[in-house]
Amino acid sequence: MHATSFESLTYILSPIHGLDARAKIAATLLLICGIVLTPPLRAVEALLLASLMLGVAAIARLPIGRLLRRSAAVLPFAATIALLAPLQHSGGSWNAAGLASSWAGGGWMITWGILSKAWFSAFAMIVLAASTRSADLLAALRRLKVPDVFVMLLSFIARYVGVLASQLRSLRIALASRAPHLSGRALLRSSGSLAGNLFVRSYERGERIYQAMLSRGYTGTLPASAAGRIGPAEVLFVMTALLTAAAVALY
Amino acid sequence: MHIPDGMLEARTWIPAWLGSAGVLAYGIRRVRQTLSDGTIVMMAVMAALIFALQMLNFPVAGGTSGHFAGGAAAAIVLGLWPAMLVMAAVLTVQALFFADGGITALGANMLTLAVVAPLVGWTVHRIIVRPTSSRGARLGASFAAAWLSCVSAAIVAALMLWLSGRAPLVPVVGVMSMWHALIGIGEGAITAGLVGYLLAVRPDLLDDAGRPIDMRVARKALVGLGALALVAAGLSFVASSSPDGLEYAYEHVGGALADVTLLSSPMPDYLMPGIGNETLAGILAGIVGVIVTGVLAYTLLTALRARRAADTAE
Repeated sequence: MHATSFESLTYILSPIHGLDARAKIAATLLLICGIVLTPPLRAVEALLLASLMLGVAAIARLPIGRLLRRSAAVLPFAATIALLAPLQHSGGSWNAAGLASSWAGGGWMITWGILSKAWFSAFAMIVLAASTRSADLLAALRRLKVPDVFVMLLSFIARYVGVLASQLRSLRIALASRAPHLSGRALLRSSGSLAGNLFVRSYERGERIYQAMLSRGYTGTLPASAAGRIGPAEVLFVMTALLTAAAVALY
Repeated sequence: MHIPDGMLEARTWIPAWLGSAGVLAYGIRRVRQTLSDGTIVMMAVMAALIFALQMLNFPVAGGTSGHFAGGAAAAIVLGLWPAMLVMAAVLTVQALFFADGGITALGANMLTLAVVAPLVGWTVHRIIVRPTSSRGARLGASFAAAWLSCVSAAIVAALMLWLSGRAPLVPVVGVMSMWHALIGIGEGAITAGLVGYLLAVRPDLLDDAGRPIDMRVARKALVGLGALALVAAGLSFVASSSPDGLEYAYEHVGGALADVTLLSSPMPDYLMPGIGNETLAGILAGIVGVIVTGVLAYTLLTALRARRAADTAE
């Protein structure tokens, strides 16, 4: 699940991709807060949110089917907790009469609430991640006053996780081709050594990275890029999100 | 898999956000004061490593699998505060770039995986390991640290689900801790393997793991945790005894819709009889938890101090 990033989608050219990342972050946060703070979504609210998000995804020329499938990945996990609600409300009764009773209905509403909110919020986050290049996202966080040590951690993760993950993959392939039938304890033990091995390699890579940074004039802070500005389009985007969130949360 | 948005109530995710943001802000200040530029760059590469290592998965039971989380391993190898920042950064990237775990739930996910897991792992490891510890003792300590950090993070996650009214207290804590007691075996084995490999190959990379625990730091950390627990208990009391502003407004403005109970019931749990007892039980549980933690911490610290005094006397 971690491995699927949205990097390829962030290079699409569209009005949404062109917006300042700060505006997109603010709009996404507002929208998700609106979704999360409301009681279980009513049909009208769900319709409003769905049309807004699908509209934005369409303007951004994103593959909507893929985004829907990807965002639906939260559902199985959310469902394990969400399905407890009807049980709690039916007084622990497992039979159909209990679960279909009117007082279990409140529980089913909670189930719907959790699942719909999880799906809508995940979809909003995916639209953000798929329409913003990671460098822009990081620069925006920095301009939003996130401490730069933290932004540096984020940018190094974004930069190197793919490299280290492919190194991990080749270590595992090497392990599997030398010892194809490992199982149980032996596998766990070699996984530990494998993790240690990758640790040492990454540490040495880190030393080389730091020397490279020093030789390029690193003085303790990453250079800031001040591209992008808040214009009318950004204001419109954030206001739309704010009004939708307010409508959903307060209506 | 991390908690997605929409699963926790505002009375849980807002305090969790504030709590973990506070801890991390302190951590950032400390790291900036104590670490050199070079060490911070190394820490950033290690953050990418922890993320990559989370792709290590292992079978658990009944065809399901768990994956390495790395909170305890990071704390053992990098030290407490760097580990917290590294884990928090990993979770943030997962939420922002990969849409894994919610953004409102990010504070809660950080509380379990970036605060509780490294803290428990680091403390357990520090308490067991001495400068003179044998290799076996160190591996055992790493295993225990990772196992306990996995289980305690799961218990905190279960408590947050309970606080949000998602599940009854005893079953959710029971199921979560049982399940993570199994996952913790894999976590512990990989952590011990990692530490064992480093001990054999690059023992210099292990953080000052052999140094005896600094009592002042430990006491400060425990006082902080206690205060946090008290604040959380207080907030949950306030939150559960009166509906928050939004819900209050909703009940009044939306009064006309009250007959559509199915669609508008904003807080079904407040309509249940016996809520007073439940609230009371919640506060009591919180207070008992704080007291038990305090007593445990005190006993532990006294024992440690005695042990350290004995060490220096030798």
